[in-house]
Amino acid sequence: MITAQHIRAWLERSAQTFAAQKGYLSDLDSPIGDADHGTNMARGFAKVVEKLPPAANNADSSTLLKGASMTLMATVGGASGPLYGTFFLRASAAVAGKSELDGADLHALLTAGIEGVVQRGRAEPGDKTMIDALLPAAQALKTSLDQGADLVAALDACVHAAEAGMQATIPLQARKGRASYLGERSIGHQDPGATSVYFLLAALCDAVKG
Amino acid sequence: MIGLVLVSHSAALADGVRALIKQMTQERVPIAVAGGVDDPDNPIGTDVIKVAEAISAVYSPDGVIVLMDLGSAVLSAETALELVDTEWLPHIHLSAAPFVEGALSAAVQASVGSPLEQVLAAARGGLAAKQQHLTPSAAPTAIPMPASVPALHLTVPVPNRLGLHARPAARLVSLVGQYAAEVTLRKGEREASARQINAVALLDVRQGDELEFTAQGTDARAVLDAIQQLAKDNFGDRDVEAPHPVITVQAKRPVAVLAGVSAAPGLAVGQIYLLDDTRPDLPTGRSADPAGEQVRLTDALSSARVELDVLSRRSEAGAIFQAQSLMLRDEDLLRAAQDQIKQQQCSAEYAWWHAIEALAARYRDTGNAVLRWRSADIFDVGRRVLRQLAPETAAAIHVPAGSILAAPDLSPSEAAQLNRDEVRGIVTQHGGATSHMAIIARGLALPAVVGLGTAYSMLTSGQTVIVDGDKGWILPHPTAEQIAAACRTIEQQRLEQRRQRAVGQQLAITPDGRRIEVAANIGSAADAVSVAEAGADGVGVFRTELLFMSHTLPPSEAEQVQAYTTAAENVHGGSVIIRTLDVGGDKPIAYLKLPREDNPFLGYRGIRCWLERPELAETQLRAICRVSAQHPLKVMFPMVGTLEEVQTARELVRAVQTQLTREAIPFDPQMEVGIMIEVPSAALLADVLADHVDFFSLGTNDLTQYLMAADRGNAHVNALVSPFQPALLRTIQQVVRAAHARGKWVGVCGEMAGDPRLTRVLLGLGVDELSMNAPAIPAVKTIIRETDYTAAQAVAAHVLTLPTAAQVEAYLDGQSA
Ligand SMILES: Nc1ncnc2c1ncn2[C@@H]1O[C@H](COP(=O)(O)OP(=O)(O)O)[C@@H](O)[C@H]1O
Ligand SMILES: [Mg+2]
Repeated sequence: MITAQHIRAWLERSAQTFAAQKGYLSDLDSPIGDADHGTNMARGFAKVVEKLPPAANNADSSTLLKGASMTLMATVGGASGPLYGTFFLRASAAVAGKSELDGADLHALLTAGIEGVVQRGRAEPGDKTMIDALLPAAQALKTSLDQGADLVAALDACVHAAEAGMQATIPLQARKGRASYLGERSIGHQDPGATSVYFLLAALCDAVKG
Repeated sequence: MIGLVLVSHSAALADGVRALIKQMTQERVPIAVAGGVDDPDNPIGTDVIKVAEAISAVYSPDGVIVLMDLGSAVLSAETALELVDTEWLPHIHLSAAPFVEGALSAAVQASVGSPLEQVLAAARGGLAAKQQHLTPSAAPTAIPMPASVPALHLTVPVPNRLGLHARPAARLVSLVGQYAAEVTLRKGEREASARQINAVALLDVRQGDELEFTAQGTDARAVLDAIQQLAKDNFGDRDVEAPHPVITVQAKRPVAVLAGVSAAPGLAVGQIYLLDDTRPDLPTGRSADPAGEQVRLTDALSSARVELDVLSRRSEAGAIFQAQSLMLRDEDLLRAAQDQIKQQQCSAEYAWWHAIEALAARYRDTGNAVLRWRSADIFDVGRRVLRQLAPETAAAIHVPAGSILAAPDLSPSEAAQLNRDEVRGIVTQHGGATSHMAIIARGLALPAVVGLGTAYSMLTSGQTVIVDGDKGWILPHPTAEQIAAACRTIEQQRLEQRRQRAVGQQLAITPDGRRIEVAANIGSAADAVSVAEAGADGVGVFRTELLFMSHTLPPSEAEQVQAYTTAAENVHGGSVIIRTLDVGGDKPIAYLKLPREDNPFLGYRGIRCWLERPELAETQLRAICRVSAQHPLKVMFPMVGTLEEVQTARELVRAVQTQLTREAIPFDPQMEVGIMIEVPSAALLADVLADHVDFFSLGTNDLTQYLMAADRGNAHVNALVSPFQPALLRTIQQVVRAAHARGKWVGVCGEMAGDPRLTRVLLGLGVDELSMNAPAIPAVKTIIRETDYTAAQAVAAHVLTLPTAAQVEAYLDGQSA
């Protein structure tokens, strides 16, 4: 079961990861964008953690996710701000009122978030965006759960799929976002957004494992 | 007015575009920018929250058009739509227009009051002029014209050196916008509608070109005359100007602070909405009885003069009201209105406002800042007379959402009608921190700065300002960073409030087990919502004056039943004490036709007046009794000074209850009946009165003034009106003792009830209930929950030995530090 403590830990781990991977993500964004994706994500999640309500408040998962959403919208700055902001906003609504999340709830959270990103960014699979990591990740989570895997095993599969999705963006030509201005020259580079998706899901997995 | 929102990755770009627009539209169009992110190291980016705030800042149902630069600006704007009120969505339009040209075209089109569709079209067509300049082959659009109505023509040469470039074109379009006629202009083979800024600019009219104007419609002649005049005036251009650069970078204005007086705490960011020259809805209708209208006007003027004379004696701003009273003695002004009534057979209201506008315009047109300031006074006086003529016309105030309401002064009834969703803060030219308006603003949790004085004239409608209600100043030209910082603080305060609310929801019980009822004072049923949110256990005083003031007739029994029921429902089962109408004094109600008094404070007010108007009293009591059947209501009478008054009031309650029994209407026969203790004689008679009532509520604001024989509106003596006065504290002690000896409870409902410095003393004096403005509740509850009753009793006992207010205050400050 995933509790509000896990969600809190997820956000905190994400902030640590993005602080550590800031340079790498911005480097990925440099040949096909404006070299700021790492800065954006690190800044956004640092703020998310700064604004986390005190633990004593016993905020539930939905509240924590909503708070993260608002902060990301205000502080990330790039396209990933409204996109991740919408992701967390929808995710928050999907788990409203739940004190604990089981595998199905987690899947609902991810799917709602992904729908938000698609609705906002109108990207399709293969457009070389964060969607290309998100979709296979959610799919893998569901498949493992359906096959009777426990939550931790299903999350491992989910992170694995995100990683594969991220690597699969390398040969793609970008059709959304800043990288799409480069046309064919975007081929051969890994998408920074898909990479941050992988980091984000890995942080979730670690948080749940504790 | 349609508002524009500029969303850019770069704050500098957004501000620059705004500056360009302001130059062309003289700030007529509300514009809000959302540029950059708040990170000094990497300021380029977009911020969804900023976009949502910008939309809120300029939102009105007339529409908002959002222009974005690229990429994440578009995504951020779309996301921001998830954060605004869903009812607004149909009125918010994200435009795909080019950022700079689209914004300029839209602003100019909006500034002439065009409908939304046209403004959106102007934005979309924003690139046309540039495209045509660079690729001249693009065909101009011809305007089809119905040929049936005879058209008038005018041919003028274009005199100004730069031709019809943007600003003269804008002048032409706004001029034509004031007329109904269809106007086109032709240059050679090409024709354009004179209502469309893009079309006019597209004609690329140069100096020396001949323009042929064609006008069709009833006022065709007039519009052509006006155009001819404009052309003669060089289309408003001064050709001595150097040929101006395409983009002028405006120097940053100095950061000046306009200082006033803090009236209600808090920080607010919003756009100034000037109340002084908004035109009230007036009955234009003709009057069959011009002579009667003239008499009405004369009467209204003399009532207004009396009001002003009273005000000029009582308030700190006396001189201002004296001057206003003089204006009302201006023969020319009165004659202008009276003549119009006679000649046009129109209503007194209409003629009066017309005369006021004409006079104000004369002041304003002088271009002299001091005289401009006078024009605000004239509108203020004009409204005062209108209120006498037709109380309802001058009352309702509706402003665009996100506004800072600016007015020469606000009457309590005006302030009470403000909608917290529309108004973010209040600034006024006159007024002091203790005015009724200030009390109401605090109740509404609206930051307010009053008494700006001459600085008031520096405000213009639509200008974004920061109001700091704590410090009592406003920042008239905040930078983007300052606005962002203020917004952050506001957000933090909102969070802090939420935390406090959580505290507020707990019961106020001392560690050693004494429970104090912590209630709120409200002025309307709607207030009860925020009061319950703040954690009030109930309502300690529902002041019913506003209910009576906002009507031209006394509210009916049914309306009152409705209001009291709503209030009770809004506090979810907490008890609600309804105070019967406290009229008189400084709260005039037109339909009561109360006599003018030299000293209303010591006059015919409260229960003295109420008991002598049986219809009024019975209706109010019937409504209260009826609601008592369903909700825990209590009734309380203000300004009681004698036993006879209490007896008469109780008899009336009994009579009403008997009547209801006869009509088989349910009520609660056990409903508690109490009185305010605010007249010193009632305090001294507390032991006698306690046998006849169920509770006392100490109205310490008036009680202190009466005890000290000092008016808190009078700067010379208001220092005496302090809640630390030993005489007041002793009085409270005696009243509590007398009541408790007879098994009755005692509340305090003056401002001191909400002053955390005094909570321990009041607790220790044995007070059972504290009723205050909602925002004070969490702090007071916290203190009660942390203070042993026995400790508080010790504090009170010590305080009662101190002989001066200064010593009491010093001791208590030491205690709370
Ligand atoms: N329309 C879109 N839909 C989904 N993802 C998108 C879209 N546009 C951009 N992205 C993602 O955002 C990432 C870039 O983020 P970031 O660098 O923060 O924003 P920006 O491009 O504004 O600088 C891209 O790598 C891509 O994965
Ligand atoms: Mg980038």
